[in-house]
Amino acid sequence: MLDYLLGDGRNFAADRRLADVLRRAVPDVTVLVQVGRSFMRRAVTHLLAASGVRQFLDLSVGTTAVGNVHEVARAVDPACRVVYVHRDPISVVHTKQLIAGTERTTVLHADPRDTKEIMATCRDGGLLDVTEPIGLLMVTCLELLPGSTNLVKMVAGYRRSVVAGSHLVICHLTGDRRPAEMAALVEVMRASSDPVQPRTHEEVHRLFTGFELIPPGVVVPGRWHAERQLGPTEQAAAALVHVGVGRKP
Amino acid sequence: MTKPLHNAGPAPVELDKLARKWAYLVSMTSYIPLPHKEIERQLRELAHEVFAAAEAEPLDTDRAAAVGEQLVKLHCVGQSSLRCSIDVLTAGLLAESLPGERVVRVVSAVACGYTESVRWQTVEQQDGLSQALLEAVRNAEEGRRDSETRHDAAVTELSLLRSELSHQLLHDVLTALPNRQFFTTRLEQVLNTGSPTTVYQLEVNGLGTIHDGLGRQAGAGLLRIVADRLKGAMASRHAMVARFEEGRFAILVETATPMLDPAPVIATIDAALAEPAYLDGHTVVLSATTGVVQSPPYGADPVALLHAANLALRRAKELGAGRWTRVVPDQDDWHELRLAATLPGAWRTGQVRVEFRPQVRLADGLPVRLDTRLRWEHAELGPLPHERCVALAERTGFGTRLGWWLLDQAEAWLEDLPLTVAVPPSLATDPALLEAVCESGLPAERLQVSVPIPAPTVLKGLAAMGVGVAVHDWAGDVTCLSDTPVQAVRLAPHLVRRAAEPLIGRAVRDAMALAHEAGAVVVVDGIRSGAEADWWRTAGADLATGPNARKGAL
Repeated sequence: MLDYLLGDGRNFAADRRLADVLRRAVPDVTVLVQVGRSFMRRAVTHLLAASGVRQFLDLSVGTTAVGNVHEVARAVDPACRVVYVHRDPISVVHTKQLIAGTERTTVLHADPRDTKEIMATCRDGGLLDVTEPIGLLMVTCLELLPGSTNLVKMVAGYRRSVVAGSHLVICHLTGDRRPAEMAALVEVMRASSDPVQPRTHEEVHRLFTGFELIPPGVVVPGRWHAERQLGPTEQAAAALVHVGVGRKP
Repeated sequence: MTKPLHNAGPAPVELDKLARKWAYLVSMTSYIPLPHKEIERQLRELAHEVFAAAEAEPLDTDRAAAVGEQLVKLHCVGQSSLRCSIDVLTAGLLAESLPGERVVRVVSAVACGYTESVRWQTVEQQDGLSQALLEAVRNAEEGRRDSETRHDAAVTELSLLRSELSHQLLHDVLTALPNRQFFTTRLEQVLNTGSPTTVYQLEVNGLGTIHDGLGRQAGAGLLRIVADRLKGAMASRHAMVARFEEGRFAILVETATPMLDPAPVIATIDAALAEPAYLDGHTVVLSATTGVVQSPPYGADPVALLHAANLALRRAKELGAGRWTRVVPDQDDWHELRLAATLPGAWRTGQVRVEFRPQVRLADGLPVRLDTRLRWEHAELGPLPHERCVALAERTGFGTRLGWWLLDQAEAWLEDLPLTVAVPPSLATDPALLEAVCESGLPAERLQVSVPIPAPTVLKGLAAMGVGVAVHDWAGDVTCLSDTPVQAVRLAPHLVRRAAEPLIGRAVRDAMALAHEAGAVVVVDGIRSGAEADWWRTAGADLATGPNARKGAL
């Protein structure tokens, strides 16, 4: 569905129908997806440039035609390692197609909540070098996990299995600033196979427990190392998410 | 694409301005995975291309279309990305004072290139997605098959576990031989097929001694050795060896011909057991007592067959350790066994009572003693007399218990006359008899204990307590009379029954005379008529009992 909202063709009729319904309910959603992707790219670029991170574990859902983490990262340094984790088996195969022939890039079929298994597979399979910093990407990820998930614990699990200098990148839906629109979004998604769970600033902030937040902290995407001033529609859409990047000291 | 402007296009500054505007607007409509500066740079080049195409002579529509394709590659594919691009480009082209027709044609070409490119990209992406879907389905299918295999494996494991469990339920833990339940089931199967069968029930001799002497561990070792030996001995036959309980084993041999002679099989078993065994550094020689039962002639009821085998074993043990006997079917025997088995239950529910019957002096017909007797009011068979009750109790080992009870109950019947309590054989030879007598609280001087088997120690003990001793089932053996003082002897029933035969009659008279000589009075049981009483009186008997004794019919 994200793919369709981004204007691409790797989607199913059901995705498109849902996206259309969602777009009618929350017109900002298309721009929101772009804003999210754009933040992810900036965060990855930042990690590559400022923190020397050369490995990424991407727990975000969806694979799109362009601008995936490995493309962004390898454009900067072809030696980067990227591991995608998808719960959805179609996404796994799909991502495999996209990364076919790309070195040091893998996709795992796993539930992001299975921290230990994922980290063990990455370590044992040599997919990531766990003695070196890793960029943990949770963009369009956490809000899709069941509400019962103890996110703090899950994130802490990842934190414990990475070395100092590793980074956590989060982009999370929120109803803090535009509760009506978020309520509409939640309502539409509730009927789908992927219900979402928006969280408050405080909740998102707590996910960075044990990490040092990189300034400016947990903010709207427009304020996080923006390359340009966001337009009014972008700003409105961006208000629906909190973003932040933390560094494990 | 990076050709310098050769025509009078927009000034570089103008082009930069246009590119900045374009980049800003288009990135509002679509996610372009590039740093913003890079987007501006690339769009500047594309804008340059559009101007070049528009100013070329003739109009270069392909070049314009290529720009459209490039926009798709850059991912300017948002909902309103194309409109945004056309707006920006048209404005720029018009600002350069290009003819309206040219402008329209060149932006149309960009739009066509864009559309065509999007169409191809979409088709490719959809193809890829379909493939992904197919592969995912295939993976899922494989996964399902894998999980089925795993499930099968789990099921196999489960069934293994189940069979392990059933093995444990059907086998003896110590020797790993089939247990009684398994044996019985197998026996039932064999009997149902009607094939001739021989069942051997063995009891290892001296297991108790080994337990006591060498310890329980050695006893267990011994049982394992026996199990191995028996299995070995039976290996060449169509046989099942099972362990029942303690030192009891059973062997089921299927034979082709009815009535296989058990002797060779017994010989094989004996030979196998006779090999010395080494237990904890001790040499042990094993032997077994065996009961044999065969079907036919026995019926096809496995329970009856096992009962019979048990009976045969008991009889063999009576004959002595290491012996074997075979039982042949006997309906009465079977009936007796059933009765014997139900006796304890009947006793518990009060069907067995104590009655007393006077011993009448033959000289004057006066009662001088009371016999304490058991009586089973059987629901179907009517009252069963004392002797029958004792015989049945002896079959199940219930005799001792019943003897105690009889002594205990006797007090209630203590009238003016002294009492005689006839104790069952199993209690008679048991030193516990003395204890039982003590506990009964019966006055020693008015009590006479009658025993069928005169065990010297017991008799001496009774005498020491001042209790009178009598011997019943007496067949004329005078040795017991010379060891301890015996107050009375009661003639064995078979002698009484056949006393009318001249030879037996003479022997009985002689025996009675000897008893008198030893100081014992002679009691005759089961006198029914005055004529019988007369005969016995003249023959020398002192006292008599009978069904009519109370009525003074004697």
